Amino acid sequence: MRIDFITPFLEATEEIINEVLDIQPQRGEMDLKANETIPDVGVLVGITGQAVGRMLIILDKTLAEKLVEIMNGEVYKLEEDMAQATIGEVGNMIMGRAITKLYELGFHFEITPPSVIVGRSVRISTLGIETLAVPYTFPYGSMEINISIKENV
Amino acid sequence: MNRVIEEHINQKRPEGVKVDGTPYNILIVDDSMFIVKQLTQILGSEAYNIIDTATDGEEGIRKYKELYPKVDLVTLDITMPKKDGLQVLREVIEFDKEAKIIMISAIGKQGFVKEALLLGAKNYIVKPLNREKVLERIKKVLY
Repeated sequence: MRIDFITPFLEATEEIINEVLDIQPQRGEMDLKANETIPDVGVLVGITGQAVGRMLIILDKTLAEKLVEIMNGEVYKLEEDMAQATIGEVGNMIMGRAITKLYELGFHFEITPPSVIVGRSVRISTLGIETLAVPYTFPYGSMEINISIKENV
Repeated sequence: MNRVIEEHINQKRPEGVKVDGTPYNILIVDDSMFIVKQLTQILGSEAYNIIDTATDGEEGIRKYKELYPKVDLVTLDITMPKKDGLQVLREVIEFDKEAKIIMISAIGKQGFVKEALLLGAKNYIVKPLNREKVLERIKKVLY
């Protein structure tokens, strides 16, 4: 996987989380994966254009709940529409920022509207596209960014 | 003397209220319930009136036409179901050349921004929304 495709996604994630939550996420060790299990909450955004793939943001329950609470100024259950709209918007903002950065580097991508997955142990497969997983830790919980991108040739 | 009184009144007046005391009417077109809530809170804090909301492009065009000429400003998302924000922008401007529309998007790609401005959008806000940024852009368009 091309590293020049990956860096903008990580930068975008860290910038948006910092702007929205006013905290600096701690990036962990990158890892390659063939499939992924979402323990509680996930946001999936598709990528098309010069490359195809998707970005999956996996959040644990406590972080997802805190994110929703901080962004709304009030508490919502993760099953509620407003909580899912909020989490989806975080995915949308991260991807929007990432493709803006990629555009500035000369790459042209489009994104699909975010899909929010709420449930216990949902398994996601990338069907052969290599996935790079990057964990983040926060005072409220943990998050993982999964990026699967294949250049369109 | 009158000018001094007028300046004093203007200092007290929230940004969302016109000189005649009536509020500016805003139509929010966005498919994200979270963004609609955020905009409603930000604009409400300065006494703007949310005249209506629409959650897809077709509904946005229909509501603008139904409410015409009461809408003072439209906030318009780009990525939406049925018709996207650029298509809504084209059709609303075709219907009303004076329409005041601010685009709101997570994408700050220069191409998008340029196209929206060329089509007649008055300004552009890149998410995440920040209270000061939203109010400043809207004020700039309305005042």
